[in-house]
Amino acid sequence: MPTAKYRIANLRVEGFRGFTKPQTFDFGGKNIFIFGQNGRGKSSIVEAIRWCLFGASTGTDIEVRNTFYQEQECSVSLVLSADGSVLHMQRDFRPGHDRESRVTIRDGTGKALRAHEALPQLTRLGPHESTQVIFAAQHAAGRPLADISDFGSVLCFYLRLEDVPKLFRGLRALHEERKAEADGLAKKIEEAEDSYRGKLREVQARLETLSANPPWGENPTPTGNETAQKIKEFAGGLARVFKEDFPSKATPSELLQIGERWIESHTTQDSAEAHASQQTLSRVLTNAEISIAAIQRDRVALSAKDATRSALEETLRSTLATETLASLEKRVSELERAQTEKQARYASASQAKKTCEDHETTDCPACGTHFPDRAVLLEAVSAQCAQNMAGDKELGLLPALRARLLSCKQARAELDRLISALKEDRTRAAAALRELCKLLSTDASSSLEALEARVSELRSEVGDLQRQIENAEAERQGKISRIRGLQQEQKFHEYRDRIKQLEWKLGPGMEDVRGLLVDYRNLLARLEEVRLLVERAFNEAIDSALPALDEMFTDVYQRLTQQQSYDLVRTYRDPERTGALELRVASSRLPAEKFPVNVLNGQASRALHLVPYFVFSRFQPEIMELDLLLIDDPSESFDTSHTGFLVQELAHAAKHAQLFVASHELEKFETHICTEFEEGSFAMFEVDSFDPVEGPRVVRRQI
Amino acid sequence: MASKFQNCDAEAVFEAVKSKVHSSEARSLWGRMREEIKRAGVDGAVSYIEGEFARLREDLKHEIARLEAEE
Repeated sequence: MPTAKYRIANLRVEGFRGFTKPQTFDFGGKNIFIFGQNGRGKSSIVEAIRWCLFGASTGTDIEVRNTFYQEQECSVSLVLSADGSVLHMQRDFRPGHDRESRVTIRDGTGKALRAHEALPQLTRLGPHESTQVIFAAQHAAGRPLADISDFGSVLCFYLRLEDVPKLFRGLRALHEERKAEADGLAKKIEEAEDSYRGKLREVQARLETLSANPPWGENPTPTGNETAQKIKEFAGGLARVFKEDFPSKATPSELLQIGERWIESHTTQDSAEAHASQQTLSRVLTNAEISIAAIQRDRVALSAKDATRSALEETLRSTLATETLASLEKRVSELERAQTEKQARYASASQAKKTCEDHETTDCPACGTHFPDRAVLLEAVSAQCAQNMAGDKELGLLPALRARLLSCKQARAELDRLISALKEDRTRAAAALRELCKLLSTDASSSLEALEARVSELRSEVGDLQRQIENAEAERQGKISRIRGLQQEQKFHEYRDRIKQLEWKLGPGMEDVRGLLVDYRNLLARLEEVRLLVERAFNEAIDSALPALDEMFTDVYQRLTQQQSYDLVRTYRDPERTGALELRVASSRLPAEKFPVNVLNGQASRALHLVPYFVFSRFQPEIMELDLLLIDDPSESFDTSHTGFLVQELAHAAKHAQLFVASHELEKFETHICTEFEEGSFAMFEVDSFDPVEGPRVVRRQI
Repeated sequence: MASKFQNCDAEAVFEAVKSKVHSSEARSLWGRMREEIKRAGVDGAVSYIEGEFARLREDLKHEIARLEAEE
């Protein structure tokens, strides 16, 4: 039987799982059986080999490191020997330095080799599809089990079929992605089409609206050239009017825009100037009119005041008659003094009379004149009283004179105030007139009448300007209206052109992009056709392989279990999921029916799980660089007699593969091993103790 | 062992596909895929088809961009 090239000659372990300080094991390429109680580290040896070959299969490298190992190193190295050649393989993981472990491979000369160069098939197989490494359920937590869940992949590898599922899975994924992309691209094209259709409807509606009330009225619809010519002529006329250069290269639409700019620019400027002049003149006119009205009011008021002054002067004159105010005042003053003196004399005479009447005196008390007779004195005194009491004609005029004087004084004061006011009013009126002259820019000596004539002229000028502005605006409106009409006419042609353009885009214009989408979908269809053919051919290949394969499975299964009830192993191919293969059992009594493995007892089920590995390990050993069976606790659930069958099968596998078997059941295995294996073809090790600091103590068991 | 599983390997499957492809377009595609498989493996064949899609996609995107830009 052909065998693989290399066998494991030596193992060195440091800081891996239960191991601490470096330990080296010399295997010499033999089949190795490692015994020891559970928890002492025998599984760590098997797992160390696996880690060195494939790295972490689940979890991360940091999980395999011995956390309590002070050196912090985690390193496993293998020496692989073959006839005439040797490979040194080492995997290291340094926490804090490396994110994941690194493997180095060197040949006998020390030359570094890449993994796929040194061990191409093993590298291709990889850790997940490896069937050679089998771990018992007791180590299930975080470690790979003897599992047939990836049975399909492993089968494909050994049948050299693995490229096929890889291809159809790749094609399937590609088809899904590209189909979604095709749908997305088709949607974009539809969106573009919808956009065109929307625009077409919009332009058609505009054209319809325009055609309902065309700018050319009842006349025949102009052609595009006719409209263009009209626009050119109109714009030419504007250019001449406004003294602008005619833009000969401009399109009709541009000509209309330029023309409108000219109109706005020139008429706005003219209109602004006219408006400014009109406003200035209007302001002057308004102010002049206000001033004239004020001057006229002042003149009326002045005339009224003059009349009042004349009346007052006449009143004063008539009141004074021949007198003056000063002479009248003097006369009243003299009369008042005479009246005062007369009153004093009367008082003195009255006093004297009373004194004479009261006293027996002959001397006048008033003047001291002696009267011999008292009666005479009394008579003289009484006569004096009567004389001073009697009315005086001149003095009798005094009240009237006083009233006349008061009236004259009041008239004089009023007259003086009026004269003063008249003087001020005249000064102000003159100033107002001067201001008006200045406002109207006329000679400063202009009369009010002349100024009024000037205001009338101004009013006429303002009116002229207003008419000028209105005429200019009407002219501008006319031109703009003409432009609007021509623009409408031009738009009519543009809409018709645009409709033709959009109709073309929705038709012939979309042919390229639609053609490309058809090509894309055709490629998708061809891809799908090819994928289905590949899957069909793959299924046919599997179907043709399964009878022989099931026979081999059954053969090993029978040897391991001696099963009577479910005595056949059958591979189930899921018709719904191409590539999904499952190991099932059947009975000779019902050969057409396939049963899931859970119909088996624990021992048979466990044995069935081992079957594919024993079978597959016989496949293509000639191409494998390293044919290993790493088995941890294979006898779990096996009774003693069946352990014998297991060892027989292991011996059968050992004809081409190198075994590394770990078990806690030394007693069950040892006799069978010594019976089934040739002396010198195997070695037994025993893990007899475990120390957390020193690690497992592994000793070679003497046979 | 080999005789038991004759015509069960990938090469046999690919040959079987060749004989079953009917349409000329699919036959042409499969021919190119086979060449790529021989040259660069399965990944090469998938890459080839991806390239074909990419070429069409670029043309399509260019045309769509042109349609959008015109508006």
